[in-house]
Order: sequence, then structure tokens, then C-alpha cells
Amino acid sequence: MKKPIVFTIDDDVDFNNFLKLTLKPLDLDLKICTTVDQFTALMRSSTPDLCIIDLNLDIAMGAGYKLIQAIRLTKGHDIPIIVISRRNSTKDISLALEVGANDALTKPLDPPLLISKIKQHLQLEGKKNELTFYSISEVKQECHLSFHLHLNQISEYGITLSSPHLISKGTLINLKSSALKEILNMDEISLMVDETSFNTDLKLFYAFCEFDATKPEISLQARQWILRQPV
Amino acid sequence: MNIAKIFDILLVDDDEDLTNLLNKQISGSGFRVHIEKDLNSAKSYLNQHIPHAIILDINLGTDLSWSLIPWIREQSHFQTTKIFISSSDMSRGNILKAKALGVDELLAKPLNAAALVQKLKKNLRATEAASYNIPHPPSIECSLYAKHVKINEISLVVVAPVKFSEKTDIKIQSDFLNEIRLNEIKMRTVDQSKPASDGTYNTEVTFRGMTELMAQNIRKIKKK
Repeated sequence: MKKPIVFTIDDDVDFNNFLKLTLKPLDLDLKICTTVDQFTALMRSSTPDLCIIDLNLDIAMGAGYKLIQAIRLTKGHDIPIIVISRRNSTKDISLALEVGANDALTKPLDPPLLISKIKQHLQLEGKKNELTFYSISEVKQECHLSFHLHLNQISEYGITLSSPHLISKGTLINLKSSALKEILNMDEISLMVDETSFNTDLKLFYAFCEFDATKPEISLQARQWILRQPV
Repeated sequence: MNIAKIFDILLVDDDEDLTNLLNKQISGSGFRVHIEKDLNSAKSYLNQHIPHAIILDINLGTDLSWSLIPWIREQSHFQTTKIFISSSDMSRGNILKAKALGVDELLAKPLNAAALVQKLKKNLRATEAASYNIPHPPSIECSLYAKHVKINEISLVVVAPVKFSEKTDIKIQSDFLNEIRLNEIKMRTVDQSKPASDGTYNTEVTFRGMTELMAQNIRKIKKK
């Protein structure tokens, strides 16, 4: 079976030796570069399965970010990119993720963490996540999860949302959007998912959420907005 | 076709006893009643709202209620709104005038609640619920209650009533993540969610951008 190809770039010789040793058990086809020229020449001649890029290359400020952008421009978004940065540099990490990196780790690297991340991004067979999970105490498990959907339709009795993900019927959701402000004159609204359906062509789930019948002003506002839209 | 279920009715009449009585009798039978006492306040209300039906006393004090009807009909967003007029004068002249102005029903005073409900139901029976397909569906942030049940240095497992079908950027906020300084970290779902129980799903969520400090905070959680 073909070994996964991993390109790395770091001008720190000690770090590169550490990387070679740490990643040996994964049996990768590891290509270690110390300069940007080497790395770009390699990228021109072949396509890796994963890249590890040091954000703090000596050559120039921001060289790491430019490499990420260049990879995304020339090779698209399929190649996972892990960036390595200085200790606790959250701003550097945020910027790297914004310009197209998939993940980030800080030096000094923790070997099990690095191995787990590489296995996760390469989707290597076997136990992807080797690190032990710690149970979270029941009293501390409560959380709020947020993600984005699209607002497809509004009627005087409710709204229809679409998403590649299924939200179970009966779920109470809180919605926030500037579109809600425009349509219902509300910054946010809490609604129950009343009905769900799936469009097999578009591979999208639709969730219909009915307005609270005890708040007639919402229906009135929706009707008012709808009937004023161009036909 | 989505048939409307609850109808909003604007009742324009200066007889308080009558309007209170009608309100009590017809509210709740699938109708929500709003009352205005004169033409000006009725117009103010109609500038902000589009009721399913308007019941208008044609003899509002010295006001000329007839003038309200063409004002309503000229505005395209009222095209599905039914107009009923109530009057004690059921002369041929009034009936012809009502028809010419496009009034839907002419009701004889004193108004009878049961008869009014019947007329409303007859006229509104096939009314479609107003709806609008948004041409460029805007993005909307959705948040819901979940539980994060276990965690390690690269990911956590969350149980939630949502089944993620592909990798998705999400946010998770909680007191627990705040305590271990992970509330701001970027997160992405790893694989498809797996069914847990009763409409909930287990989803592994990876952290994007783990710092040494964050990893140390996670390791301080001793309970395995």
C-alpha cells in the first residue's frame, strides 16, 4: 500500500530531527525541507497528502502564511495543512487558520499529540485518536453548540431552514441573523423544529419551525413583511 | 398549498360595548381580533399590519368610512385582505356602492357574532398562508443545547440533537470550556455523527489550533 506523502518545512535542524524520529512509527514518505525554495520545488513536482509548515521561518516575516496561501491557490483545499508556531501564539494560529491552514500546534511539540493529529488528518486506518479521553463530570457537561444554516422560506406561521445536517424534530433552537432583524424586527428568536424533510437531489435537510402561537405579533410581522415583497 | 390557520381581523367601530362583545365571542375560534375606534387610528394600524379581514362600520361618527376602502384597495399588499362593512342602512344604494368598491360582504347591524364567524369562515376558508421563498437564502446562526461528555488534547465528543453529515465548523460554549480556557478555540466536526439515543447523536469535534497551555489545562482533568 502506498505510503502517505508528507512535506514539511522548518529551518530548525533539531526540530527536523525530532520530527523524523517522532513520525517514524507512522511509516510515512516524509520529505523534510529547510528552505522555501526546496519546498516550492517539491510542491511543483508532486502533491503531498499532508503539509506541516513552520510559521516562523527565518527567511521573512509571514513566509509561512504566504506558503499556505500559495498551496490553496495552486493545489486547492484538499491537502490538510498543519502549522507549527511559537508557544501560546493564538493570534498567529487564528491568522493561519484564516488563510487556509486546517490545524495548528505549538512548540515544544508533544509527540502523542502530533501523531494523533497527523493520523486524524490523514485518516489513517486503525485507531485514529490514540489519546485517552477524559470523562467530563456530569454537572459540567451542559453546553451550547452553534453552527450555520440557511433561511429558505418564511410564511406567516413559521420559517423553513436548510442544512446538510439533520436537526431532530422537537429540538428547541435559537436563531440569530441580520435577516431576522429585517423580517421580524428581532435580533434573535427561539423556535421548536416542527417538521423535517430531506431533498435527495440537493442532499439537504429542511426544518420547518413554527412561530409561537402565543405571540401573534410575530405572525403579524412576518405577514406584513411577506406581503410587501416584490412578486 | 398551505392554508392559513389563524386569521387576524381588524374591527373598526366606535361602539365599545359592541366591539368588546364581538371580541369575546369571536376571538379564539381561529381569529385574533384587533380593535380601532376611528379611521385615522385604523389607517395607522394598517400602515404597520396586514390583517386577513377588516370589518368596518360604515358610519363612524362623522367620519366617512367609505373613503377607507379605495385607500386599502389601491395598495397591492392588501389584495388578499377581505373587507366587510357593517351598517344599519341596507338600502339598495349602499349595497350597490359596496359592490362597486369591491367590498366582500355587507353586514346588517346589529351584528350577530355567530353569523359574523360564519361569514368570516366562508370568505377566508381557502386563504393561503402568505409565504415567500427567499431568493438568496441568507446564512443564519443556529444554537442549541448539547452535552460534551469526554475530551482529550485534540478533540471532544458532544451529544446533541443534530446529525452532522460532513465536516463543519462549529462553536461550543460552556462554563467548563471557559474554565479550561477553550471557549475561543476553533472547532470542526470530524466524521459523520453516530446515533446515540432518542434523537441525539454523538459527534467527535476536533480542536483547531491547540496551544501548550490549552493541552496542559485538558490534562489537569484527572477523571478517566
